[in-house]
Amino acid sequence: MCAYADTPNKAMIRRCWDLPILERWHTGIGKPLAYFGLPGPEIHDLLDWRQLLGVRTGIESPGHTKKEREQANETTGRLNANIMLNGLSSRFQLLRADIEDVILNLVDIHGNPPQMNDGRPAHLAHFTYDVVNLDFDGGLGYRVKQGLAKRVDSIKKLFERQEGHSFILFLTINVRDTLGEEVENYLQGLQTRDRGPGWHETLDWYLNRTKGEREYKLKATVPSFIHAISEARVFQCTSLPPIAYTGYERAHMLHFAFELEAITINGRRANLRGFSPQDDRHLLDLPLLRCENGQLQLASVQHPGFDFTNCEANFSFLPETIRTTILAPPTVVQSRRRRNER
Amino acid sequence: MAKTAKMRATDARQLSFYELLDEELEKQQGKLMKLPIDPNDVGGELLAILSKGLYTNPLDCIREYVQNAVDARASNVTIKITGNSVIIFDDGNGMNLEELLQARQFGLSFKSLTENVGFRGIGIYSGFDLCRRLRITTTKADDPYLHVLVFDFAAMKAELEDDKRDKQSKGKTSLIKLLSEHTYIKRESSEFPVDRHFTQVELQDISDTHIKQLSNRAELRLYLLQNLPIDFADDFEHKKVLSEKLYSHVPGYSAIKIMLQSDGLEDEIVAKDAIQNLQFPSFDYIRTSSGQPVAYYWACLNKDRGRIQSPSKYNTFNEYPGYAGFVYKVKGFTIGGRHKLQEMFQRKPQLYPWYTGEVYVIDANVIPNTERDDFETNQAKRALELAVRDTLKHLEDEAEIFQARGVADERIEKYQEEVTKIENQVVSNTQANEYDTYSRLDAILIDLQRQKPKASQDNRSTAEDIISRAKRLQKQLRKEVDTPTPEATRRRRAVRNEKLLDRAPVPVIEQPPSLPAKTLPGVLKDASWELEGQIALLVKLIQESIEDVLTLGSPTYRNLLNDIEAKVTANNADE
Repeated sequence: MCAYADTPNKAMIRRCWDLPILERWHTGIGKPLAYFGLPGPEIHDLLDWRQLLGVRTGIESPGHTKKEREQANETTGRLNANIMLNGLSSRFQLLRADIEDVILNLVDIHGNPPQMNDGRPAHLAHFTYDVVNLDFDGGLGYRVKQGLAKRVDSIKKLFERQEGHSFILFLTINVRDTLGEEVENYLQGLQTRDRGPGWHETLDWYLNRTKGEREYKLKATVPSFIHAISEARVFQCTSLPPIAYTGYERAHMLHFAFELEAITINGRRANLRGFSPQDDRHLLDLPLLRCENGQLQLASVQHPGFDFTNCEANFSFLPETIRTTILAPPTVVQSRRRRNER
Repeated sequence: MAKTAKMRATDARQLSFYELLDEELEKQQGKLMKLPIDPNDVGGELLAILSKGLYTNPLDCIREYVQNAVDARASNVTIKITGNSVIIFDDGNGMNLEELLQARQFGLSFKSLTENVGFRGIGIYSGFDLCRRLRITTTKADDPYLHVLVFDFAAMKAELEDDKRDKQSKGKTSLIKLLSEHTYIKRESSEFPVDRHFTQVELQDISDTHIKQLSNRAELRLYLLQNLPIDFADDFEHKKVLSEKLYSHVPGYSAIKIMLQSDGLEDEIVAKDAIQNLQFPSFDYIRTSSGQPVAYYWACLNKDRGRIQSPSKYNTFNEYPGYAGFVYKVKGFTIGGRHKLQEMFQRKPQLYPWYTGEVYVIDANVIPNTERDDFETNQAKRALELAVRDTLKHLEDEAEIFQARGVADERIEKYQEEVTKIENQVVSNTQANEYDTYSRLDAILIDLQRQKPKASQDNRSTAEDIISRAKRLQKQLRKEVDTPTPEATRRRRAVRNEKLLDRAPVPVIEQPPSLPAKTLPGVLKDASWELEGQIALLVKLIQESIEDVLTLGSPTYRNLLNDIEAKVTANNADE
């Protein structure tokens, strides 16, 4: 098994969660979707979504140490071989760089820009991708030596680059990260707001999650963060329920999906800010899904006050069979935990 | 310390070899002996020398890998340029482990001279100077495995550079060591159906300068069309017959479809362009005086009696692959350019670009040189050239006949119209001057007698008909002049007063030029004008255009060139 091996959980998410989201988006715009992301050497996402994709830009890291570079060369060769062998080479571009660098600086290590850019200088250039798949192995707080949180910065920059062009963002991160107390601070920041009855209690519940339950804290933080930065770039953002799953080598992963509609007024791009249909309360109330042993289900532990009966609306886009599986009643752990907490 | 020990070991080896040899020479004094060579005596620099020396143009490197694909009987090749990598993917037979190991051998080839194009056994290393890493992935039908062969050219080059810097170790890295330490192989299980076969060559991390050249779509397309065995476009009028003939008469002939893919550009299939108004092709073996076939050719003349024109899809002259004239091919790969055979049209060089055609060399003793711009000098080459000269001379004659037939047919058609007009005038008594009309019919009759034998079969009978009609008219005119009727006299006088009759010019019979005709580049060169780059191309283009309109050496042509020459001289004098 190599580091980029697929797992049943990841495959399930790609095919039964991401794919229906993309299908709905594809139907909406009526043309093949332009892809930008991290396909990995086995190009699982490109293969699973091949019917929906048109132009594709894949990014592969060149590695930073000698060993990583050797590994990366091999990975790139394998990726290209898979692309050619599967007949996906048409309109596929491979850039070699950390994806954060491509987003931040526009170019890869050879100075090549992503093909769907508007040709303006690096600091101004915009992208026109329809689906961005940031399938990271590591956590959100990945920092470079100088201490800059490059990953977070690049996500912020991505919305600037995509401004004016609607897209789907898939974001997969490792639950272990180097954000430290920043997540807790973020949640405490949210606590200063008043979003109705039970708001503070719910946030308290998220804040009190133990170290082994960090996915809950991130589940409450990341959508809110994405909404904040996307709205500043005049997008209307819809967050779909996050999915926690066990990845390769039992890594605890969290998968997010966001639908981002660029706001226009009479056909022209709006300038002020976007207002998403989901507010803080909606985002916090989103259910957490779990994917274990290749099965996608509602997580058995949800925050207090979570309404199991009314959460079905979040899954209306899914085929009936998947929806039924997800909504199969989980073992009710929530109430007992809740009692204990009280 | 380690280096010193290594050097000591080398010295010991050399000393021992030297001592042994010295001893043996002493024993065998006066006799010639075989002098053995140690594998370490072949330096790694040889790889760099060969690669850099043989493949000066990065596009030559692409040719080498496509050539391997052709030898593997591929019919579809994809050339993908993405980022700083070039991927060449073919659906040929692929290689199993044994064949892959043969392919990596240096200067050894198991390919057949008659069936394959490559035979020197170094083509696989052609990317040495171009990229940092070469990765070959391949599988053969029924092989359950994929094999991956990787050449770390960057590491090889770094080691050779180190050798150069370290003066004490002068060229110490042997070729064998260099290749052994930086070549990798791996096996993977194939997830594809067992009948899947392919080879993928990936040139990774190509330098910026080279990738820029390779990414120039127009330049790459032009190179492929000019050098590789590209298949005819589907709309090429004579594709079917030509393909059938070439596949059945040229051993090892294979035509491929190449798909070009580049970042940000639409995919493009490269194919030999359809050329409008080509005559049905002629094709045959080219034989030596002893009847031995040495080549097979096909040739199509332009029905429009002029230079083969470029398809309109090309934006600039530089993009146009140039199909006018003939080119040597070996298994579809081009040797030299189309200008190479131009000199074989000696009597009427202007007729050379009226043809498009190819000469496929089938004599295995005629060997292309490594640069692919000529053949290695040997007896077989000379025999080929003589045989080709005879064939092209024959084609030149054919073109001349075709030209003359075209002129004759045109004239006959024109005379037919003119004689009909005269007939109408004679019937209605509206000709202004019997003498002029009679003289005109005379001129027509003289020219018709000349053109009739040259004309096409259909037009010969037409010419006969016109001749008898013209003679009849002349007879009638003579009668009119001898015994004019009052009514006819009155009508003719009226017509003469009202208007002048249209006088068709007496056809000018072109005389062959006594001296070689001047050309525009020649005139400008004589006037010491320096023509370089695109200006030179433009002048050449203008010359070709003039030749399309005027016959080389004709009075009008000469007048035009004299006029230009006078103006250029005057301009020089002014300056």
